[in-house]
Amino acid sequence: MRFGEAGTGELVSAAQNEGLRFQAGPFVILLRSEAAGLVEVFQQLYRDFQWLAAEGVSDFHVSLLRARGVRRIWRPQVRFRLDRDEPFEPFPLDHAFPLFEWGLNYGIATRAHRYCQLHSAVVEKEGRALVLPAMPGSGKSTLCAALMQRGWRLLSDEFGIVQPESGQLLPMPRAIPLKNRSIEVIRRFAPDARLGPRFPKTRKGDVAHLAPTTESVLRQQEPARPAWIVFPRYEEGAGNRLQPVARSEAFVRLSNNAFNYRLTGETGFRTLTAMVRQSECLEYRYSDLEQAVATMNRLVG
Amino acid sequence: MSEANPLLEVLREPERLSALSEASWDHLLPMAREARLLASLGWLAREAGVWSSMPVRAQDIIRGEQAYVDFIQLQCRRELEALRRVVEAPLVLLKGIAYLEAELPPRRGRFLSDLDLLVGRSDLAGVEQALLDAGWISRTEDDYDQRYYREWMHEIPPLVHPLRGVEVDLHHNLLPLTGRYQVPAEKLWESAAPLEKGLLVLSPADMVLHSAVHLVVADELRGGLRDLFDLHQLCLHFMAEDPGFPEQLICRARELGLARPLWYVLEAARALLNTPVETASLAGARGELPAWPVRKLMNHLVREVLRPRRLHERPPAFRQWLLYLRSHWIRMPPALLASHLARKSMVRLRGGGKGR
Repeated sequence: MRFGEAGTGELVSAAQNEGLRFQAGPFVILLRSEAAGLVEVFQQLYRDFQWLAAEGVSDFHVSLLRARGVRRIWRPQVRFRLDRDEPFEPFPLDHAFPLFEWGLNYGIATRAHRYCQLHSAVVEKEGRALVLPAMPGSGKSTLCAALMQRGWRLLSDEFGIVQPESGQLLPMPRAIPLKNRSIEVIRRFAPDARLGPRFPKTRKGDVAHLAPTTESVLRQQEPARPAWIVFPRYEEGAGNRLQPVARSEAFVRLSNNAFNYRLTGETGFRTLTAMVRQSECLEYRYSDLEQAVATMNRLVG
Repeated sequence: MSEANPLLEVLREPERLSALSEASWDHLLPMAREARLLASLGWLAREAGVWSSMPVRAQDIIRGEQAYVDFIQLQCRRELEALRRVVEAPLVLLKGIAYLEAELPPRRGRFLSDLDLLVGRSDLAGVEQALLDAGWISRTEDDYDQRYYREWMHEIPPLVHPLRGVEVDLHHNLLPLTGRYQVPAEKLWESAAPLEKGLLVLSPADMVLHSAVHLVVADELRGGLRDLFDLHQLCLHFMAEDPGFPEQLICRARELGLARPLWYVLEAARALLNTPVETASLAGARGELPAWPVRKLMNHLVREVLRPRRLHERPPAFRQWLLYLRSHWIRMPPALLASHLARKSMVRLRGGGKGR
């Protein structure tokens, strides 16, 4: 059964007891939650994911627990727990869903060193992957959301997960957190986009999550070959400029920006050099999303 | 008590890794991670020839941790190289870095949190100065903490090179100066074994004794199962090389006045890991071991605190606290202990740094 087909009450109760188990790309997550609000948002954004039996090996055991103490009456809070660790301060209870998403990202970034982890958005078309490394102000989440809404398959908006043996990018579709102005931009750009509730004034400003497209979820076990590495930069009035980047420079930028490049040592070096060699490396300045999508579509030819 | 504990079972008999249910794996992996033994599981499985029969998801989770541990080990070895470029005095490598450099079995998949080195007391000031001159710094700024280390402990405040971040702990002895157990450092140096120019490791018996007293005197036994597994692997290794090793160990413990901590730890190792070292001969001498009820209680506490727990089981907080008090009791005379703990709880209440 997919989460979208289950009754909300059933999911809330399972989340409080044995937990909701699901697979996102290479990872299996067991989510327990005492916050019913989180489960409602989760069901909306993860509706196409398969609800797995709670028994079996999970990569991440995540719990969102109501904070105890007198404060729970006038200022209810929620704690994030990974295994038995609580790496963050509690959040207000109604921000349980963004806390879950951030916490899971933290878990992946600190543990999944079996893969090389780029800090990049990745989308795919015709079996070829477009890697969009995240630089401050790049607007990669917005661009990635726009591409997904126009038919590209989402691999990830945050983690470019590369399997070292094959050099392939593994999908890990999740809800895409859109921040502040991006929320309205995407709503206008794609009125059919499935957006979750707006969470005001989080650590990163206002956040609303965009659900991955059904195709992205159903094909989440299909890896893709890297074909293009495009360093995007959003600049008002910048027009639309796509320029080649030397491979050596692309390698330096990509490795500086990876989550575990230093840690994976020789494996990381081999994986990234192979990836840069087989990809077209470009720098892209854009100011208009429609134009950006058309430009990226032209790469596919 | 310890039956059906998946982590203890596979540490005792790694072949069992081939026959675990998916549900057992899901208990085992977080337990091993918490005990800092996850990467070691991969080694045990490969050596037992069962790696390829394990679920792929379990392999992937373990490989992630192995990559991390490999990186930490590399960083520590590089730190040792950097340090040796500026230090001329002989160094005895302790714990993790000793297992790594001497290629002893516990090195496999072992996480290192710092670089532990024994320096001759008369060389200590010179070595510290050489490191400070070469760019290492002390992050312990608090005057009380500085004094705590220098007057009462067996090590100086940790040094760190800011570009690399690996903590270097320079010890001049294995145990605190104020403590109930005292080991003459000269004796350790006399029997230490040279590795290469200027680098030594403790003799087999001293290495096992250090591992044992470290466990008993450590602040918290959380993570103590890893240390116990170090000791277990060392004992198996040294016994395979020399069947007379257990007697030498016990003899040496008596000589250094460490019969009691060794007894506690061997008892725990036997109970939890089936470590095949007889403790009967340790119980021989009067006065070396505590009275029967204390022994029973301590054995119970130590085992309960070291026993790994499933995610849904509660950690043994109260027992841990008792042992925490005890570790300080061993390290300091009562009056000093009282003032130290009072000070630390004040600092904690004010939201200050970590308690020692």
